[in-house]
Amino acid sequence: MNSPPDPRPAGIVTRVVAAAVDLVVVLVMSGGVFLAAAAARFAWSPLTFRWPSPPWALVLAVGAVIAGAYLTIAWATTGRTYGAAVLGLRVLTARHLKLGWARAALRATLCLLFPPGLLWAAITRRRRSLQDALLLSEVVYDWSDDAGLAASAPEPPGRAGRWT
Amino acid sequence: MDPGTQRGQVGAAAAVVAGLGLVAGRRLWEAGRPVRTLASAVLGRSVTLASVLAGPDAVAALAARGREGGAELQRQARGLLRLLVGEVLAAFLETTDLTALVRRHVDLDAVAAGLDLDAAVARVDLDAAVARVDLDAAVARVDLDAIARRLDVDAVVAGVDLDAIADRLDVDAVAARIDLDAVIARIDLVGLAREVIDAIDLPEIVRHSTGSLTSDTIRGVRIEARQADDAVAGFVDRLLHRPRQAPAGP
Repeated sequence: MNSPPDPRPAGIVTRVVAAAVDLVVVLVMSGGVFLAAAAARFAWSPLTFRWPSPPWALVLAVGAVIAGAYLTIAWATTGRTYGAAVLGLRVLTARHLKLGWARAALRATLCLLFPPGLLWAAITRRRRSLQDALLLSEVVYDWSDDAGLAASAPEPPGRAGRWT
Repeated sequence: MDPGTQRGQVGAAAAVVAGLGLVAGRRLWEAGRPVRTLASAVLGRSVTLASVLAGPDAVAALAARGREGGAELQRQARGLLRLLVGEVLAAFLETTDLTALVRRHVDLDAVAAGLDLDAAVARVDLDAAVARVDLDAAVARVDLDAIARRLDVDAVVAGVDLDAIADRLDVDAVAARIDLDAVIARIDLVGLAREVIDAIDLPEIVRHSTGSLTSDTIRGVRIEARQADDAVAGFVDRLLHRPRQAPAGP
């Protein structure tokens, strides 16, 4: 990823759509974990096999762990989840640097604990959610993976390459 | 001495000999006139005397005998003459070039102009003549390869009005007689399809088109979402009575 991201913060619609895509990804991953657990159960005792019926608390806990791990790893490594990649977004610090592991984990926890905090991005002029305001992070447009759109997008003066 | 001069001298000598012969003959004929008169008188008297002495019957018999003898002599003379003429003609034909003689002395054009060729052809039985011709043998003797080699096919084709022929051609009728099922049965359609697919690299085309479609779709979603971001931001700005922000990016 050589092209710098567009420094303009992303709006609420794009971020909600990206979050919805990420929710689908987490649900798919959770389903995969469920099927893996069922397969393990079948392999352990085929004669007495029954589909697992975990309690809701366990389901929510496992889902939260999966989502937290997914968001933390994505933001700490590439700065973008699958949903952000599809919508052309990237999560950076206020100085347009990658989030560290700690800040990424903390941001993921806050997002899972209070998802409506994202709506604050529709109100503030800098388009920051409550989590962004607390952790000094920012979600910006990054279409550098699309050559045609990246060429038409204005580059940030004097900030090229700082996020990498 | 050249042959022409020699022939002229021989002709002149022959003319002199002929003149001498004619003069001598006339002299002899005139000299024999008294003898001929005397012989006629003696002959007349002899006949009269013989008829008196021997009787009329005997004279008639003698006359008949004489006529028979004359006829016999005439017949023998005619045969001798025919023999002589044959010998003379044979000698003449052996020594004479009749073709050259005819060419030199006969006006063949005038002869041909006088011929009624239409009448001559009308009398010819052409059907019988053709029936006697062995056409198979005649064709077998023809060297068709040599004729074909001498043939200027390009000139022949250039002279053919192919457009006119094509206009008269009933293509529908020709197509109706074609057994398409038999033609298709001889075609290896599977092999042909495999060759075409190998040639056009279908998997690469599918990959390229799918990637392009995906890219276009994602680009459209991004643009729509970004415009929606700006619309929401504008709405919130109006709601909060804030100055409107500039649209963000493309």
